[in-house]
Amino acid sequence: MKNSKLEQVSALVDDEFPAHSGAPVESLLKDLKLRATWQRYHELGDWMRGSAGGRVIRVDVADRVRLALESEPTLLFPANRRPLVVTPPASRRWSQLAGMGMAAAVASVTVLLFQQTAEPDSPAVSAMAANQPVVRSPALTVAAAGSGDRAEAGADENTGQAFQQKLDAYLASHVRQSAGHRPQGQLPNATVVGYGVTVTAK
Amino acid sequence: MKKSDASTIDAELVRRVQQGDKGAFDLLVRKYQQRVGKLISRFISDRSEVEDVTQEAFIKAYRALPNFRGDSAFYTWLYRIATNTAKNYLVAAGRRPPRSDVDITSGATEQGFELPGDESPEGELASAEIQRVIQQALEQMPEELRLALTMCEFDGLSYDEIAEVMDCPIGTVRSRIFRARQSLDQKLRPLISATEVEEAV
Repeated sequence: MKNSKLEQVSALVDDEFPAHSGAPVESLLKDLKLRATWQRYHELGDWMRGSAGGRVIRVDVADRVRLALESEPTLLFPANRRPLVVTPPASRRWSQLAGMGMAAAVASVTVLLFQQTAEPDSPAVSAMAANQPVVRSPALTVAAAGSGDRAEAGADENTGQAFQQKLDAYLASHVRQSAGHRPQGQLPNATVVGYGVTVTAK
Repeated sequence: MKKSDASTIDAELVRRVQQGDKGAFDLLVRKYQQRVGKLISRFISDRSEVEDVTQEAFIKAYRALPNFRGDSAFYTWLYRIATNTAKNYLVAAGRRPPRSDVDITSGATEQGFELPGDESPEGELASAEIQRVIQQALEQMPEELRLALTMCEFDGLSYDEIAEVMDCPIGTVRSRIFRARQSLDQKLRPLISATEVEEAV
């Protein structure tokens, strides 16, 4: 047996090998003599510490356990389980940022789609929308009132009206769509049971 | 402190077992069987019973490994399984388990007394002989080898720390510890083999 291999085993016994360096572990798993050396080196340490503590006992059940486990099913760790290695906090922060970025992107796409799919308004929805208070950005209001620039204020006004029209169109479209497709009232032949109340739909 | 409490090699071996490699579990058994046996011997005095319960504890650990998430060190987790296995064994055998737990690092219970261990005359004799040989081998060893090994085994220093104390490269520390182990191993091997033969007979 080469001394370099045994020296690697000795270093492994002391956990003095980088975790990602799998080669010495592979050798240990394949070579019976190296396994025996691994056991004896651990045992030496146990004897040394045991003798310092004043009591030693020698137990060797490795072969018995190996034989008993031959009939046991092989463990296969589910792939979706949390890995043994704990994620460092920095990586966790990055994943949180990535999640926030994804959410922001989805929100942006939703707004863009809404602007592009808006349809001309209907009188009914316009009337409904006319009763709603118009929400304006405080910054826009300040800019219009504070600068005295009428042209700019007029442009803002036009933008606000265009937005209002698109919103009305969207609401009108929504009302038409939902009126045509949603189930009217309760589902046919469905029975809704509540506490002390039973309603049967026909 | 001893590094093995947060061992990266243990984590690697556990990962391999969880992926279906039974050979990796064999390495964990070979590494920890003495400590587990010693722990169980504080609950149970009969040597053959200690071996049976040690084996049972390892098999239970293997079956429970899919649930091991690495939140604690592997040995701490194994220690709990071994303690419970020993207590359950005593209850099943109609004997009363100790009311307090054994300290994980020493033989003392919380009240400060020791539970019975391998105190048969043969066991005492074999233990005394092995201790004598270890002591003698350490005394005869070149000082730099003895220092490196004892700092590693008794004081739990890392190779980096030993290199700093001994003012030498880390490769030298690795080599010294290995040579010291080899020397001890050669002197102890005939003795342990003889003990094994006696036990088998």
